[in-house]
Amino acid sequence: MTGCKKYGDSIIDYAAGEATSQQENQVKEHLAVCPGCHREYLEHKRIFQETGELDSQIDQVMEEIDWQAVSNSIHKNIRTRHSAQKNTKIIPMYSMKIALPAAAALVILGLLMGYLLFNTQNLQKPAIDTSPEGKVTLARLETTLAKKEVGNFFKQTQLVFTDLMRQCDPQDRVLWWNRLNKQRVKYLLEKSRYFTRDLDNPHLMATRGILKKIEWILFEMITLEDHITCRRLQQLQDYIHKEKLLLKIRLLEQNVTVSEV
Amino acid sequence: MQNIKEKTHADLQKEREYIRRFKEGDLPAFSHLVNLYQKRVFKLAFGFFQDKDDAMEIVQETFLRVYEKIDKFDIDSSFNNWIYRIAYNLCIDYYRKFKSKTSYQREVFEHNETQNPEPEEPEHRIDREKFQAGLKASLDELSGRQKMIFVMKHHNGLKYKEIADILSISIGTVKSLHHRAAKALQKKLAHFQYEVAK
Repeated sequence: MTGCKKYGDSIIDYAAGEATSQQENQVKEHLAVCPGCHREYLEHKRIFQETGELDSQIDQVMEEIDWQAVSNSIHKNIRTRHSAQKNTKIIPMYSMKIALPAAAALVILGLLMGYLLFNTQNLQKPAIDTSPEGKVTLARLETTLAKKEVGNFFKQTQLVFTDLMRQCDPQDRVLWWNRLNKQRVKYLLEKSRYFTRDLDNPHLMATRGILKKIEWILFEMITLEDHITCRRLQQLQDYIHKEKLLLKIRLLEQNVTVSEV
Repeated sequence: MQNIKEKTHADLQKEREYIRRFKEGDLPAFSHLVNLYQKRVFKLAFGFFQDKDDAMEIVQETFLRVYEKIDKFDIDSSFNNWIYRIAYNLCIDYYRKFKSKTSYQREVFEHNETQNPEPEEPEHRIDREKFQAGLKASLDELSGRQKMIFVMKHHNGLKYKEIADILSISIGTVKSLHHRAAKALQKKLAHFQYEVAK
């Protein structure tokens, strides 16, 4: 076994059929006198051989595939992706002539409305009731509003997750994602972040655990946008299924909207 | 992949013509290129993932990239190597992203191993399926680059030189990654080898 170490890489190259003739001669001579290295050589050889035969079913798999359909779906995906990109492109110059004045008018109108609303609120704002009864009433009102908002969020989340559970077709992945309405997902993600970070209402503490899971799924859904894969979708579906998230969300929604404040 | 060597001069000329036309915006030329390469890309990805759906997704994504980046492709360089490089990068990318999935598979494999050890029984022989399952799980433990080079070498039957050309890296790097992969696999599968030897 003396000096076996120097043959390590050469044995691998020899077993892989990549040794030079000089290397080959040296390795052969060594293997003839070293049973340890000979065994190592056989082990490598077997692993290489088995790797080559890992896909014994590949020919059958490839025969079963409708390659014309694959080619068509590639074209379809390209068309879908590019039409989606076109739709998000900047408005052409000719429509800017109409769009710009319209946008300016809207901004001015918005500012005017805001000013009026702010002033009216200031005028009508009642003095805060600092008595113990007043504080209780205010807390009840805040809680009711927060519950309503969270309940509404849960309702919308259920709709998105139900869509997510639809079976994904590998050849229609982009179309699948477009149908899901990413704006809605982004909106819900922002909401869930707000709830988990800022909401400290004691009546809603019970929803925190679920909210974190929902936030994670929504975030994963957003990251799917660039490289959508059915495998990844399947993982999310499995997670929702395993955690019984749809059921839990429905129960929480009922709990939040129905329970007494 | 072996077809690379079998390509005739006429085939290459034809392919070049398709690429030129595709670069000018001719979609039927793109279709010809898809038909020429989709099976090869599938074979490469299938060898890497051992999963039909994953391989199909790599095929789809590869041609989307080809379509989007054809302007950057230099017509004097090898289209074959370029498309494999795209597929290779996508495979590595997916592999890294879904490492959790593969470690899950490994866990399942290791769990099954502890559930059914049976090594003491003298009549017990590790069958080929078990060895291949071990091999698949061990391949998943390699780094993305090591795994891809190992698969290209032994699954797709490429030489070090061809792999180096496709991936635009030196032969030394290919050799070194291959050696490391081979040693790691040998170490992981030593237990099986022993069983088989018995």
